[in-house]
Amino acid sequence: MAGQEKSKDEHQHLVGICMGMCPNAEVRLRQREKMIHPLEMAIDSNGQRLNYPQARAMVKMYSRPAAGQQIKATDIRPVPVLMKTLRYLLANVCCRKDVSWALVYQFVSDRLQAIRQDLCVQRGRNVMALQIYQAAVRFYIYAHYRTCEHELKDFDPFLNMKQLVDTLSLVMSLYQELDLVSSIVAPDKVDLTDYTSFNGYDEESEEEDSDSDSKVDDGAETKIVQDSKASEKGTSSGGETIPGLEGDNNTVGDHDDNSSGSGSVKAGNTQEREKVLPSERKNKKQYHGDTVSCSSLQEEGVALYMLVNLGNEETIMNVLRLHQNIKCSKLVSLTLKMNLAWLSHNYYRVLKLSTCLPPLCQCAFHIHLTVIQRKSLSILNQSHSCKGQSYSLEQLSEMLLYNNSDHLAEACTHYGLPAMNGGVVFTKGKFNYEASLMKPRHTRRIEDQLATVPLPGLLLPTLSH
Amino acid sequence: MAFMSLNDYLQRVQGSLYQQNGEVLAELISFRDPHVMSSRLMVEKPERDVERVIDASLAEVIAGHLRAAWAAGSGDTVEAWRTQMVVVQAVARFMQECKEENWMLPVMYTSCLDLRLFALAADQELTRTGASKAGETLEKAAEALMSCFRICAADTRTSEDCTKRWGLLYLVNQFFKIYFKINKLNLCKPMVRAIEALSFKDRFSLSQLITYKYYTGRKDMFDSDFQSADATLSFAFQRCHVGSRKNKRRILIYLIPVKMLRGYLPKSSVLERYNLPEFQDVVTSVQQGNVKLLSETLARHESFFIGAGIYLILEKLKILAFRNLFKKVFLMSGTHQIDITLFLRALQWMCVEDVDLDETECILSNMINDGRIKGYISHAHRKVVVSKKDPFPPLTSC
Repeated sequence: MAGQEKSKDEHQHLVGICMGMCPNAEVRLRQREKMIHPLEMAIDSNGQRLNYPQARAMVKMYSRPAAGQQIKATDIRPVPVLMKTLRYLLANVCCRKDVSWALVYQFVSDRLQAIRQDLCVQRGRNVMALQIYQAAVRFYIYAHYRTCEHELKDFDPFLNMKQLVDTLSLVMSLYQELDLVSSIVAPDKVDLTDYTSFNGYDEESEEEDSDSDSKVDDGAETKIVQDSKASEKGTSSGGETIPGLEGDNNTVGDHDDNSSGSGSVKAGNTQEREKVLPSERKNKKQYHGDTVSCSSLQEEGVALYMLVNLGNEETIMNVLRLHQNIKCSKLVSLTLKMNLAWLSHNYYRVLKLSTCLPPLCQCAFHIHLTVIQRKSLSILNQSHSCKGQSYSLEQLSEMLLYNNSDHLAEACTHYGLPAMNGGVVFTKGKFNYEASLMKPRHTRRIEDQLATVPLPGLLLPTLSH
Repeated sequence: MAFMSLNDYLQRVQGSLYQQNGEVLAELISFRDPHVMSSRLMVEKPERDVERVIDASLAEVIAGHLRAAWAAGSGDTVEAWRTQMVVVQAVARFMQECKEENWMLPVMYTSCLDLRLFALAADQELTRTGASKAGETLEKAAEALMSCFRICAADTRTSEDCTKRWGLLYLVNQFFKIYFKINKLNLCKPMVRAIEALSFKDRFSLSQLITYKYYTGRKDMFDSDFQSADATLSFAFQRCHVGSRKNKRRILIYLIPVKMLRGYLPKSSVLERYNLPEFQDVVTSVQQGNVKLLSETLARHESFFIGAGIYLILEKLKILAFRNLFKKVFLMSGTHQIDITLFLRALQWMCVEDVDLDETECILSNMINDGRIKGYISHAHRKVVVSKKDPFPPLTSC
């Protein structure tokens, strides 16, 4: 039994050998069974969809792991190919305007789940896997906001939230794990070599990637093969170290051999740290193709974790236990303050601070907005109950981040509080706690902010320029 | 005793087995007994010698123990832990074979305790070398303990005086220690349920009960069930032996914040007696409504409070500090219609970070909503109108 334990520790995991976004067997099966998603169909010269697959656009579907089903290496995509697939999904498919967003969401969220499954089967627990997971988190958060006004048949907030929370806790545990490993066995972190070699390959095709709304990446298939070959070389040679993970624990001191490299990363690091607030965020565009240091990625990850789980005491405790460097970074300390404020239901402070968040974080916060608004109204109703007085709708809608006083009035009426003549009358005991939560709405502020960032930049800030 | 031969040792084991003397047998497999220091008992492969003397049912346990003694003696904590895992599983099988008897419970206690201690050491070792994640080793140890737990819990048909279910509380306490260590409190729930379902749950030994109450009290606290946490931790503190000051201090670290949140402040003599100076300023600041001092104290002892897991509950004490501060403002104003600006000035004086009139109103709203202030806010006039009778009800009644 002791022997078994030992062999478990060794890395004897399956490594996929499928070099396309979709295994050949699945392409054939789905073609035969006519299971082609509209986003994978070929388009004829008139722009009509043909019920015929465009081989390059096929992406492996998620299928539930069934008992007794043998996992074949030919069906599993190695990590670099997964990265490529992710890029295709988030940078290209998400920008498609020729089909409805609901369809895009359904497609991307399913294919992302397949990516996560492939990663899981191969026990992908390195920096690249981490980046893939975190990009998935960004998508779920963005989708949660963008799709919040849709009907249940198009979008199930509960399921999306589950994916989001699961992936996010995976991201957090990976940070913990990798942080630990990097402080012990520094030469293990070859992973970024793959990643940088990727960037190099993609540089040529970048233009068509960013503006391709209709012409989906030509020659994606061949490129994938190239890329993964290159990165395979990277992993097999294995000796080179790329300083990717050090961030806060460069006390280890075995980076002497690549001191020049780590220097540049550190420089990038400070630069990165500065642009947290939206006003500073514009600098991002000047920040071409550089390797983004892991610590700033971690900042984003932790901030999103805190916002998605706003008010959860366990989450706050977990973050409080993190390293000082992370805790004190601007973005994380902001989200920490918001969480602490929400502990005492200080809605005013939470909402005020939320307006300082960068766009994606705003989307993450938006998940809780309706709950916060309802709680605020119920508290205000208890404390401002005074005969013959009303609270100005305009002031209140601004404070509670409603788009305008009409939206607030609608919410007040929904929760049983009479709103008329530009004011709401609070009366103790009138608040209807039974009323269901208002359906979330897009907010003007987030819409405006999102408009300033191109979607690939929002979802893949580390990969696209 | 320390230098007995292997044969002597095995004879003693066999003797205690025949007499069904659990206490003696437990000592013979304990790592806090001097026999484990004896080099003659540190045997790498003792199986053959053991099988010659010891009954087959117990042979695996004893062989494992001797091997673990060898591993621990040669300083290999990881191997010692692995072997102890085997010992605990063997003990579980041994217990299963002895139907309708519970004399061997002390043996299970000892082996499980040793397993946890070895796992703790091995966990540090494995984390240091990067072979496994922190806590993973402890989790595996918990799995082994679970095999004992299942056997004890399943022994429901046997009459009360010889059922193995008496062993449950000891095991549950071991689980608590592991789960609190690796921060997986959600796993404690089924354990609590198992204990609460026992008809004799109040008749366990006092020391076991106190440990149990200490951990369930902490868990209640994290679940924000302060009333229950207060009751449970108070039980633990009052019953805990006067001599074990260290344990009493540990209980107080959780009991004090819970009590404070319910409106009871500890005497400074208690804080002194149990060496808890970190709380001194917390108490003073809450009493005085000195929000500034409270924030500073929280920042100063941050690592202590976070490490103990009480940072957030202390953060909640800020509300009480605000309440006491506002009460002073009310008393000074001498009126029942108080300008919100007065409260704002008090908050600014307390260096609350960029606070404004709207936020002051928000804090007041919350207090009224929670019943800490009786009255209402007139937003149009920016005034708080407090009740003539009992505007600030005592905290103990909230």
